[in-house]
Amino acid sequence: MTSPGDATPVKPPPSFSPGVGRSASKSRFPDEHEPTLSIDAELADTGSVSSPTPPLSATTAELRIRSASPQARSVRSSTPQLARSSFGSLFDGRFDGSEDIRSLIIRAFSPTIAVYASEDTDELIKNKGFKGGFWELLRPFGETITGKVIIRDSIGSSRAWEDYGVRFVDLKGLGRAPASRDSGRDSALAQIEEVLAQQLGSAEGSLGASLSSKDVLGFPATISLAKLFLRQLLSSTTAAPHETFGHPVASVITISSRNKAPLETLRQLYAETNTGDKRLPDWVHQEYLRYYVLVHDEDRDDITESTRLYDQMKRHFGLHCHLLRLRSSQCIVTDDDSVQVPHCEWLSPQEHLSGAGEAETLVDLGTDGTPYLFDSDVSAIKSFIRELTVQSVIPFMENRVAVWNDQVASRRRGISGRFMSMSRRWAGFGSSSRSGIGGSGGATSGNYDTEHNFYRQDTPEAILRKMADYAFMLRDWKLASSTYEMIRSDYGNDKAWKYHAGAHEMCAVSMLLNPLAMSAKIKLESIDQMFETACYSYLTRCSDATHALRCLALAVELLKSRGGSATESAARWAMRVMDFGLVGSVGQILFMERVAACYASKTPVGGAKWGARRRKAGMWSIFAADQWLKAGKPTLASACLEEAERLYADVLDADGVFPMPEMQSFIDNLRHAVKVEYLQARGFDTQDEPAVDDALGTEEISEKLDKRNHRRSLIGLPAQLDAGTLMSAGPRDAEDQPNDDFERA
Amino acid sequence: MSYYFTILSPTDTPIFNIAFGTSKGGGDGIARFRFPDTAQYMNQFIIHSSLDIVEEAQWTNGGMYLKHIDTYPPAAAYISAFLTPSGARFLLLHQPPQLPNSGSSGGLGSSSLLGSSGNLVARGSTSSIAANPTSPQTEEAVRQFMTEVYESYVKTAMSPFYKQGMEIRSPVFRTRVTAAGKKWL
Amino acid sequence: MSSSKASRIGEEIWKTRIDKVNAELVTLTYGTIVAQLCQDYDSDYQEVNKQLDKMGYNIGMRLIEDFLAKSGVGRCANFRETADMIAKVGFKIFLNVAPTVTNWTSDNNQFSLIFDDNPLADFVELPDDGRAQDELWFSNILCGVLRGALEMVQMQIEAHFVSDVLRGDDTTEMRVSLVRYIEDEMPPEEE
Repeated sequence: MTSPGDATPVKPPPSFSPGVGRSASKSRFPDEHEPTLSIDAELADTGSVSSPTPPLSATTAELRIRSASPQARSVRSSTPQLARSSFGSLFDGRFDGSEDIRSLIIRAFSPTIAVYASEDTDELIKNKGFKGGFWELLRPFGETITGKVIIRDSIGSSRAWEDYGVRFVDLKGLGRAPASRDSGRDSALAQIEEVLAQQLGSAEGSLGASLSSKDVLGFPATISLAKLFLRQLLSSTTAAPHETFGHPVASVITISSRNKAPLETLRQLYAETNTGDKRLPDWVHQEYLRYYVLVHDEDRDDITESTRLYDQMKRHFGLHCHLLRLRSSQCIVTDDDSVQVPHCEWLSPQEHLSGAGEAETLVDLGTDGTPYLFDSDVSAIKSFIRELTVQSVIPFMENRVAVWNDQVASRRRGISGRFMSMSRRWAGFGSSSRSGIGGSGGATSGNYDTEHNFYRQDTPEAILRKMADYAFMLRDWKLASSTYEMIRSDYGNDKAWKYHAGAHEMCAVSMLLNPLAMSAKIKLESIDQMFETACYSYLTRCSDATHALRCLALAVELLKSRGGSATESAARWAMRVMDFGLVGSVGQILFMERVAACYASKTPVGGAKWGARRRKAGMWSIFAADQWLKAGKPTLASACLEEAERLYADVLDADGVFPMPEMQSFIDNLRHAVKVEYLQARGFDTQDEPAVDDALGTEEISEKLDKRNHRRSLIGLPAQLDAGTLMSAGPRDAEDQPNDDFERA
Repeated sequence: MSYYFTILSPTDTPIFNIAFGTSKGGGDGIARFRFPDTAQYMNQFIIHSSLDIVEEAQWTNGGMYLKHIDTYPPAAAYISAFLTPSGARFLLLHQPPQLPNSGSSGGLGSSSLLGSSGNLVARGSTSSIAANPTSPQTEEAVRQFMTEVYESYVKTAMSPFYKQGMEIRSPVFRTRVTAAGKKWL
Repeated sequence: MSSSKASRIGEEIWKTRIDKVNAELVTLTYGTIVAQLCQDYDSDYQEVNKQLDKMGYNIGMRLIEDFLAKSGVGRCANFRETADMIAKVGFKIFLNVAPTVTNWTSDNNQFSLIFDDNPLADFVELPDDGRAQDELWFSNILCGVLRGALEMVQMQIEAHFVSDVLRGDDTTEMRVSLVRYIEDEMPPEEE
């Protein structure tokens, strides 16, 4: 970090002198300098202190584009050390938070817990201001569980996780979605695009104002947009047959203390989850954990009464019970111990579109209607969820994984299992009855329901997938990947293409998430191959664009976070996304930025100059800037331009001029266009604009001159003389002169 | 197949550029890139970005001809490189014509981002070079082309009026490169 | 002495008595000199031609001794024989080329040398400034060499190029004219 104070003793190099700075200020006040030496010294001193760019930051200033905004300009000149710090963080931390993104991806695959509450419970909760009932109350708190969550993996070693979460869903909505989604499958992607557009609309306005302070710290604008996109994508997939992440791991069956016949109600609710129209479809495993909750109304009911009921519940239903003590009255912001309910991180695109805008304005205004809870309620809910997760859900999952691993997977892995799959393969020749239906492969297990395209929940294929998913959600990626690996070809034999795609996808993802596995390049190739297969199955065989996009987006982010040559694979996948046309116009640009980010994250090997992909990253940033501009987002365009400039800084000579003339002119035009659009968007009317533009222009130009002089000064003395005469002509001329130079250049 | 051939000085300054199309299989030798004519800067961007790979490849590959080293998938642009011992780089961007069914490597139908109108000329030409930019035949043809250009380049560089690192403006050289292109590509 | 005999002499001397030097070295050296002159005289090609001629003259005056020593040829009977000697022996042993002697005037005082091959001009492409093609005689040094050498053997001649493949002409042709035989004079001061 350099402060202007540190830098002043160093004499500024010639590169820095024209246009602004010491020499200019000297020549401007020659008379004042004459009389006394002391004043002269003082003035010279202040002159250099107030000189906008101390030498060190002069180099960094060259890396940045001047066009961004008037604010950005002032930031640069008044606080050069900020620019400096942003430079420092450029290549490692800047685009990125790859850890952050990994965590995001990991949390996207959290266990799903269905909530099934009695009417009296929902009634009670609605009175507290949660229209969706008990489920809506729990949901935001499930996303991050307070404290560490310790999970044991299949070989018995434990690991603590800070960022564990579960996802609460409404049981009533579970399993119904796919039917409707099949028709509107594309609309899921369209919705994501719409969310992005919405976010952009608000972003360009609000973020433009604050950009100047934000941009030097690394553009949260587009980063958060990319994150938003990923999060939206990951939360847009709902429960589906071919993967069990959306299937409930547990179900929270809830009554309240208002219930007149509590035990009967609980039994009835339980029964409804097994039969009747609340029963989940055939492809959902029915043996999920049932958890019983009694919500006690602190304001109205007697706790001793509830405690007695709770004891009864425990006798009847076992240990998976909880007494949740909540106040029934609504909390408003003015209450002493009011706590704002956190935002839901994992809103589906649909929810985003219907409610997000509303919620945002409410948050901004801080008006009533925003859900608030009493502090006591919040801590009660938090500890309930923690207990639910840590003491019931996770042990349950660990247990299931162990059981299935023992009973199903080992059999499949063992000799008999191999023989089984072998005999299945030969079955086609033996029994003609099946091959007639099964088609040419002749290797179908017969477990796959070709009519409805799913495996029943109790077939080994479904159970193994579920086991792998459980292992995945328990973050035991080693077991998960080996299980996916084991079953992925089985699905292919059965022509269960979506399962096939899903297993390949998750196999690759879990391999990439496993921090220990895989350093060799061969592995990387096999992972690429898996993504390729998954993508092909999703897209061509099932025309499921949403899953295909999810698969590719995961590939991009995870390969990128791997670093090294994997980043190039990542960039290639991002290009594939664009090529397939899976994303809309905003998505296209985001993926351009991702390509740039992938290349930017590839660092040179061992201090050598080569191995980086700066030029590629810079090129993609430029393209993204161009597209942002075309999309009418000059703020984002200018952010990309700056990024490009930083990336290119390393590979261009000190003068910052591109060797290729057409590139240079394209970039110059782009810069200019961005600047003009930006100023227009900021509300400079056309009368003002040329003047402001000119001011900015000259500054940019003088910067260019700096570089040229710098280069010439390397060659010989005449250049310095040149600059000297230029200076003595006075500041006004100094600003005109560079213009000419620019014209020539 | 359309070609964009560039010679870069050791300091990455382009000293020679030429765009031409295939003359094989009935091609008329005119370049038809997938970008619109107004976007010819794209070629330079792609060439420039491939220098990342060239810099890496030149340390891991001893030969002068580095073969096909880089691809820009959105425009199906392939880059082959040739390094002279003195540090000049010959970069050849080749782009197969956009056929209705020539797609991405996955065969999943292409909706190329930067795609423009299709190319009628080389369509139906089954010459191995046009068909597959990474086939051994193409590699060999490009190698022949590069070698021939290199010979011409040496002669041109020997001209007392040519200054090293300066743009090559010699019409003779341009003719020779064109001829080599016609002969091999 | 017939033209073919001169050829044989030249061939013989070239093979047995000449120290060879790398052709590219000569070419590059000469090319660099010309390029440097062009730069020094700010692309005033008339002046460059003049300078090249002058340099050639100084070379020629020295080179003749070496030529006579190596070749051992005696006095030529007439200017035609001189021409053959220049083309078949002189150019042969110094540049390993044998230009064709042709286009004699009826008075046998003027002839042309047609160069099929000119080692000085290998690789050369004239600057494309629009003037060099019309003004610069790249190999003009050769004219000076002839002038200087023949002057030492009592022949005042005038030599100039009339065409050059470098300029895009079909041939490279030098026109040589005998001005007079110098009778027992002191050689003039060096120019």
